[in-house]
Amino acid sequence: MESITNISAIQNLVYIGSSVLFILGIKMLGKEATAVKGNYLSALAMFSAVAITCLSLEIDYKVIVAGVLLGGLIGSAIAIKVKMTAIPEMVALFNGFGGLATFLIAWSQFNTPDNSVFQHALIMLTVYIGGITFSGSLVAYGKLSERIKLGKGSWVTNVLISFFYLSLPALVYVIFEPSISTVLPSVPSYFLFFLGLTLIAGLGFVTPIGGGDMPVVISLLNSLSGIAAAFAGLLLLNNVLIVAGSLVGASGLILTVIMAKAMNRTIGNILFVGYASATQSSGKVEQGEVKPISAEDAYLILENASSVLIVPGYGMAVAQAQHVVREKWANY
Amino acid sequence: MEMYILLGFVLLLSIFLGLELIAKVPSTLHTPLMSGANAISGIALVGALMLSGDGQTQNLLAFGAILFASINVFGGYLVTNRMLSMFKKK
Repeated sequence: MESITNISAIQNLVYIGSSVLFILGIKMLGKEATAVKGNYLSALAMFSAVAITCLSLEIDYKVIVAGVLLGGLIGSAIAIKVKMTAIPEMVALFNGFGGLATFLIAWSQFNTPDNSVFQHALIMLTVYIGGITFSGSLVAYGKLSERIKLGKGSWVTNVLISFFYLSLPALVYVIFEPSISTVLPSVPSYFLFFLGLTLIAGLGFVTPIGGGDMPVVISLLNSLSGIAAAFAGLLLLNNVLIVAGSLVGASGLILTVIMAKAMNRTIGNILFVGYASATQSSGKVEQGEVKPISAEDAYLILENASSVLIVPGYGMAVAQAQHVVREKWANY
Repeated sequence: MEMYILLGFVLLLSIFLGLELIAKVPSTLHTPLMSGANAISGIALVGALMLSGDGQTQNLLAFGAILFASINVFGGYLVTNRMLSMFKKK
């Protein structure tokens, strides 16, 4: 740990610079006119933070070069080759890999000697959030690409959900393990059990949620991976990890709320109630159902409509329909 | 411990900043913004580069962390860029 505290002043200055770029990047991503530029800015921030970190490496540089090259190759290949309509599930997959990275970082830190009680707690939290993000994102990917068809009610789902609820007390146990192992009998290889349990818990977290709600869930998992990165930053005493991680964590959470609202749902409803029961429930909250129709039917309905509300979304952009819609709109 | 209090301060301020940044976003940009934020969470790559320790296990864990974080970073930014290019006016 001691070498981490003396990160040179230059590194910290660059970290401050890239934190500012990240903030500006996210801000610009939220407006259509500046979104592309915002993405470039945040990529520049990422590059400078990574490059300056490479000045003080502790592991074998061959490991790093191999990892970055291979990872960059795989990531770029997937990103370039993937079909436009398959991008949302790819975002889920990439996000899962980010979660897996923090999971492995925390695991590696667990193996280093002399962790304080506080660091131990941080390691466990990072493992938990990173692990849930990884396996949860895999399920989200599987559901969006229609590889996983498990839903609410199947016995497999119910078993997975039980593991999720089992993981919560397990998390509390492992966080306080150093202090309570003098009172309670300690489990020798509890950490490995916990790693496995975390991954299964992530499956149980996402599996009961319906495919239509996946975009909101992916946004939530994205926020979680940011929080995991921020915790890893606290663990490694690194500013830029904390800033970028908590920015993603907080903005991802807000985005999740906005997306859920756009669907007339609350997050609690999406996570713990599910789509089928949502339509049955009555109350003050308005509920609706998406009804896919054919082009001819749509024409008949729209012809007789007195007013039409168009809600543009990612699908419209993919279909390149936004300009046509805008032109038609201008005619009325 | 003083270090942690200082870093906790940074953490809290960034959280509030993050909450403020995404106040009014048009719904067309929800998916690209999510993807862009996802790329930023690839910052875990910096953490992976800071790992230390000897032996095969530690090297393997570091390699895995670097590999997956790099996939997240490269894939995330490229995909976001592709998505945003859809919004350009023809």
